[in-house]
Amino acid sequence: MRSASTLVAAALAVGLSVAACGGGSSGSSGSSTDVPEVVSGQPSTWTDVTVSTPTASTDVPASARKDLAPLLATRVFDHPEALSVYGLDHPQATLTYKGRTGATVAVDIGQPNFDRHFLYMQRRGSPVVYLVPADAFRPLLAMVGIDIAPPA
Amino acid sequence: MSRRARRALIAGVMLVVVVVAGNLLAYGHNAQADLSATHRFSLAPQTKGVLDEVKAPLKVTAFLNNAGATARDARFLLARYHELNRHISFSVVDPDADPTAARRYGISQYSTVVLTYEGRRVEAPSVDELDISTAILRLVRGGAKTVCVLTGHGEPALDDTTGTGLSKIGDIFKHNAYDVRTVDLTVGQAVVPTDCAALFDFGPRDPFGPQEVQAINAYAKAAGRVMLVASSLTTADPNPLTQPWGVQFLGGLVVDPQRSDSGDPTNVVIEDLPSTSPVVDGVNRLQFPASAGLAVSRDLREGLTVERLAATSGASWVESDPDVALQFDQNDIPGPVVVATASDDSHVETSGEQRVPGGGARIVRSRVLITASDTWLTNDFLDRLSNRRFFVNGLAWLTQDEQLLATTAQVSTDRSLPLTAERQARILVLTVGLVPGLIIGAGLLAHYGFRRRRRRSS
Repeated sequence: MRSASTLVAAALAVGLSVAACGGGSSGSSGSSTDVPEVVSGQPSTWTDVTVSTPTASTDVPASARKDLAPLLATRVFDHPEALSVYGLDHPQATLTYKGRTGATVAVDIGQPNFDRHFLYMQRRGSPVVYLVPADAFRPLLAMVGIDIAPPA
Repeated sequence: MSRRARRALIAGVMLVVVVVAGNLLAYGHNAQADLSATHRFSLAPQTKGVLDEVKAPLKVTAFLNNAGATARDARFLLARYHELNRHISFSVVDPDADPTAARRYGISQYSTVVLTYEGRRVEAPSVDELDISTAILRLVRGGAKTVCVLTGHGEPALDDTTGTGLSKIGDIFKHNAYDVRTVDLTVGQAVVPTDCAALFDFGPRDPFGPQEVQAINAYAKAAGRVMLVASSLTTADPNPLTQPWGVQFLGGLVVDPQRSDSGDPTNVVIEDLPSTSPVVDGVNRLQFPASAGLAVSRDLREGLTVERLAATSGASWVESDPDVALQFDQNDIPGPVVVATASDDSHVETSGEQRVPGGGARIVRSRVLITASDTWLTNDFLDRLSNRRFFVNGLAWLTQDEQLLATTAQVSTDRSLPLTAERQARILVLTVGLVPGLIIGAGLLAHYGFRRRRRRSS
């Protein structure tokens, strides 16, 4: 009798666990709280950082690099619309990082978002589109003749 | 294994099977029922009234960050609107992910909601029921009505957010798509604008001039709608404004030792709402602190009806001299005391009908709502008991917008029970008398039953 009761209790526990797992699978698939990085490293990681347009190019002074390395994004679009939607089919500027080994990383800068608080960016060769706070880029882009209007 | 144990095992296995099968069945199916006592997950009845007026496709586009909980909540809320009226469709657009749509709609802020209906467009500032319903109300109405609020007699302001201010009343006007115009009859020509859907005077402190009285009464008689919120604590005598509508302002201070809150017999709780007027529809109890009394005239002219909306208990009285002592004496007026009335006056004018060719006689209808306290609708008291609902109903009744009123569920969430002296006495009877009595009675019955059975068996 005692063994049967134990068996029933165990079966019940297993059943309820299975049921709980089944129900739980409909919940969230888990999310990361990590801040997405467009470009990793520290300012010292990169020997040169330049901002360029088809008609102008300039080195970013060391004092202005702290917001560029690491370059952090606020949002990531893994499956973006067509690049023209974000102005990334014809980027208005490109940020180029050059490492000590000579390797380079290019980040295309697209249009501001709808409220002009952010800029769309894409690391060249990656399909992912990032949304990066525009504040740090206004003076930077002004150096190559691009004015980003402030938020309304 | 014994037979009993086998049965237990089979029952256990069956239970597991049922639980697992139930879960598998439920997985992927999304049914819901709002079992909350106040139906807080359902749309308010007033919203349903507004949605009844939507007769053509109405599109709601909410611009929200798709990753946030706000977007999920918005979909849930907007789906309720769609369920109630299939003319309503909705979409939630992430303006960062789809900047083209944001540009097309001219969006410059998150949480903007754009509603379009029959070529008209309005924006709601957020995705909550009140804002969405207000926007729909604006769309179906085709514009905002104007309500006029009297100033110039020391009335509290609609933008005053302190406890004695009326900012909550101002919000009700705003959320119900009313434009508010302040009217000061003490300066210039004393005329109430004819485009006022209703005229409100919230607690005048200073007396009315004869020209003002004449202007207000002329407006009211010409099919006007007036709400007069009088006060016992001022020198403003509202009788010249109330008497033409069959109501006399008695002044004094209502004292109700039986139904009052916080041990203050002048902080009156009203539970008698004897009329069937729509103004008290859904109103359970009111809290009228520092109220004066009203009396309804016995001889009313033809066409004039006066509803007694709210009255105090039979133990109350109108204290004629509250500065001396709150003690009933021969100078006081015994209760029950009426503290709110609704006058409806209809009369026929021989001409003026515009809806039929050639004109003809028309019916002119005036409505006047009077309360003898002005404290109940201040910010401190508007959300006590059913005060807010009472005001919203009154606004609807005056402006004849019964079907077009957007309010939130919170309007009807009156679930508090003020501990009045009457209720205290009932609790005492129940806990000290009835419940112990039942227990003792049951014990005695059991005792005698046991003795009887023992006698029989011996």
